[in-house]
Amino acid sequence: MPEPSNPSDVVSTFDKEQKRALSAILDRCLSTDEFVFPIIDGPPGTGKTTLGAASVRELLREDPKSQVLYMCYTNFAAERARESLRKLGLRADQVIRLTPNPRDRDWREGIIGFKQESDLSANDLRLLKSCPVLLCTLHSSRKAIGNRRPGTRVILDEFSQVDPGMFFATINRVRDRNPDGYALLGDPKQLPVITTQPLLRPNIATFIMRRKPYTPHQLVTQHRMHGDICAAVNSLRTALGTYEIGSGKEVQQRDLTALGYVWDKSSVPENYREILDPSHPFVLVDSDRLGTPEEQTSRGSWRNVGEAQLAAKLTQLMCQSFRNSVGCLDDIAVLSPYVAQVVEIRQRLPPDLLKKSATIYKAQGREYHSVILSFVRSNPQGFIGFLEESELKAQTYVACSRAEAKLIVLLSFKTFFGRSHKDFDYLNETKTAFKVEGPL
Amino acid sequence: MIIMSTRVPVDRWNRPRTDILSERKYKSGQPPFDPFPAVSNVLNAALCPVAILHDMLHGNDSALISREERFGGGNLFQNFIAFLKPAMADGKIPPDIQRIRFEFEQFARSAPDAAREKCWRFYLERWCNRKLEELSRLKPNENFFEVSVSNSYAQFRLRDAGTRTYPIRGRIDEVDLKNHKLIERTIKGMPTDDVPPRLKDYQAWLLWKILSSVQRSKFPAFWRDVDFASFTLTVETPYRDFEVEKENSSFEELTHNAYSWIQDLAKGGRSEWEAYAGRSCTFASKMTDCGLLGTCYRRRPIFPTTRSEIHREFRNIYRPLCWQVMWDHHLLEYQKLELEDDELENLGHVSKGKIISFHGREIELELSRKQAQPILDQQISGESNSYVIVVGTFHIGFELEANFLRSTNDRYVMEIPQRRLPQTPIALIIPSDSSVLRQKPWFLSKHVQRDVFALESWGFQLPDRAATHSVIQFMESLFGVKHLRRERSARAQ
Repeated sequence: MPEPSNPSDVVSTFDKEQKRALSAILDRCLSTDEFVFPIIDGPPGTGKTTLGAASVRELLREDPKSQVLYMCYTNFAAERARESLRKLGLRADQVIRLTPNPRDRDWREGIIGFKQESDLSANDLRLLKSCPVLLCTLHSSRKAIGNRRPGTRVILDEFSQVDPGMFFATINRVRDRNPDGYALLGDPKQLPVITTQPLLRPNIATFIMRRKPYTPHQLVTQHRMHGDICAAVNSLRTALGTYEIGSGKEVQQRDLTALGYVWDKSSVPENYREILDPSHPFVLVDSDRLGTPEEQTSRGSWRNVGEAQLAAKLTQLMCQSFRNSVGCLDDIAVLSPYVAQVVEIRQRLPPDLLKKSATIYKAQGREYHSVILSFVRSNPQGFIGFLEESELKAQTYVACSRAEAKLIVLLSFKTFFGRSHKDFDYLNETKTAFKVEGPL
Repeated sequence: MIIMSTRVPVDRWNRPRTDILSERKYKSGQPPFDPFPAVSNVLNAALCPVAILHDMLHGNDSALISREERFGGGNLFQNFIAFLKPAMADGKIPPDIQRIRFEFEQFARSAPDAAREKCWRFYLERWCNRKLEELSRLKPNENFFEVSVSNSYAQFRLRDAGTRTYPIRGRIDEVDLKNHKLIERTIKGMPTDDVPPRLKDYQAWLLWKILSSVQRSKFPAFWRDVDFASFTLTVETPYRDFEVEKENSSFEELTHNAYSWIQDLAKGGRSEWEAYAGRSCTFASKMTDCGLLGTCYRRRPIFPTTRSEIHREFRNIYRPLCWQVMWDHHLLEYQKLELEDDELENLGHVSKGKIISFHGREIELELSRKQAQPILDQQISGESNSYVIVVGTFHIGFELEANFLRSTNDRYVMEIPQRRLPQTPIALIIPSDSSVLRQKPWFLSKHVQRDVFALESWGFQLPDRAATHSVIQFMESLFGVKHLRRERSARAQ
């Protein structure tokens, strides 16, 4: 989101659709012949969490005695929501983050961990009860609910990972408090719930929309990615059968240089320069030239040693050659859909960069200045495993949309393109893609 | 009365194939193996088919848990005895009832006053008065508490001829090595009872069956020479001890019946309504001590009016969650017993190490870099930092729940939370080989089952209460004809 000069002005920066969604969240749910249940479909970078935080602040402005239960699926998302709420001017004593770890106990920062209420003193309980915003993950929501006042709002962020079971379990936990409003924020096209059960994979928004005629509020302008990367993401969104998003003016030309990095071209070997060039925000690298085949590990995961080497090399070169006023480029992620490839890349990275390598699942909800993706599969049959499964193909979409200024995709063109893998074909046809052959 | 499943005994118990054990097969959908039940599951299945149905599908395992036990009275009773006996054996507490009372007050200071007082007056005081002389004769390293036992091939005789083997795991309240006794302790029962509380004798027998059927090569080194098969079985209530007969064919039949229900319910199909049809009691003659009375014989509220539709949708949630638990938890139980240590390490489930020291609530372990990799991975990824430290073997041992605290070089310090450990086993095991087990939080799926089922059963009788309750109105609009809107319509405004 564009930064407002005054945090309380954030609503004035909202577009029409965001304002409409905000107004729906502020409405009370009960009415004689209808039930108001806003679902906000927010693609990557469109400001879902900012909208959630702004609605919390507006609710408290309208009724300072009200209480909001803000729930996220992951601890990471809960932390981000806490940051957003604090950015909008809510104090630490107004937003309390509940964790399951009793060692987390910092009232000044607004973080309280406990396993059961008996771990808390009477004063702790009183403070919790009077706190306007309680922030927690869905699994630890039981704790927060015990401390809420009746008639409060329930906001659930990142619903794409919340299955109907988890959602209805949460509804059961809040039922005794009779909340006066609910809202779901998320992107239904992002990664599904992590489960072994296909029946549990559709998220709660999909479940609701299958049952009832319902069109969610759709946020249409993203404020994270460079225009070229957004074009790639739009190709994937088209393949997923959903609407395209536009880019805010402030990010349309947001490459690494615009983010304040200086590229030391001379420190990069000749054959890697066109890949790393910041004027090419979206680069597709053909790994066929590397000539390394895919391999299956004993645990069924896949790896590609050549791609792992290249990914590790590119990571190191990027970190060394891009510098800003603070130091080297640090905000970078090397992602892969396969655990074995993540391990393979880690083995080739120096210790200080180990944490940069992660699975796409781990990266959901996060954003990085630069992202390197390794898709691993390389076979003459064009077989790409679960990446063509309807519910898991969102991995490609999620991975690409993590990048703000530079996206490098390593994949075998022969395996992924022209094989009726719709999303990859669309990606290949993206006009903003800069294609290069992998360096030998 | 035993309600027999229509398929007793089962043809065979399906255990995971090698490719599933070694996780070469993608985990998805219905697991191609049968559950690995705990003793509590078998007891529920033996009590009533509906009890095991609620246990497996609705996350409610409270059929055999009394009201007092549900609120922690049973745990306090058992935990204090597990603390008291080793302390008395070491001579730290004299056999004096006033002193024991004082120790109990210290031990249970975090418990609510009423619960503490009740536990002492109704259970512990009576138990202590009865056992005072026995307590004064205790010697160190003779009594062990909370012993985990597990066997994937426990053998049970069939009525005519032959045997069936089933997987089963459980926890023994006390093993008395000096008197060759296995003790199952409970706060259930009345002073006037002349039979053990319901199924407690069967529980003791099942635990002994597991213990006595484990191969000697799977025993922990410190108990390599113990002959568990010769042990006597005792059910201990606060008021008296009951000896349990080991040769009991009705227990064998109960077991075959229980496993048949467990297999049927895990697979699905017809068994759900068969279970309801075969329930062990009726409205007219209820099992009054059953913890599920409120669930089975509760009047369904009128609102929400869309209950049948809600039930139809929620049914699609319960069984996948049961299968999820089987993949996350039961498979690991099979793996622990059937895979070699290095295979378990390669899969990242277990890190073999050595316990270096134990101070207060902190345990220090020595693990090599490779051994600690699963723990490091978990720390990097920000997943739960909960582990289980297993002392002994996975067949017979002690399981200590632990939280990762810190590490320096190859030393890892973990905290054992909220539990006062009996001193004796620790004295025995330090320094000792141990395994740090990494588990997925499978119990969260059970919580979800329980909450979803609670929502399905909940509601209001009165229309005006239902009309002003947002959860009822949400359910009515999602599953009924009421409109569900993303924002207030102009008409409503």
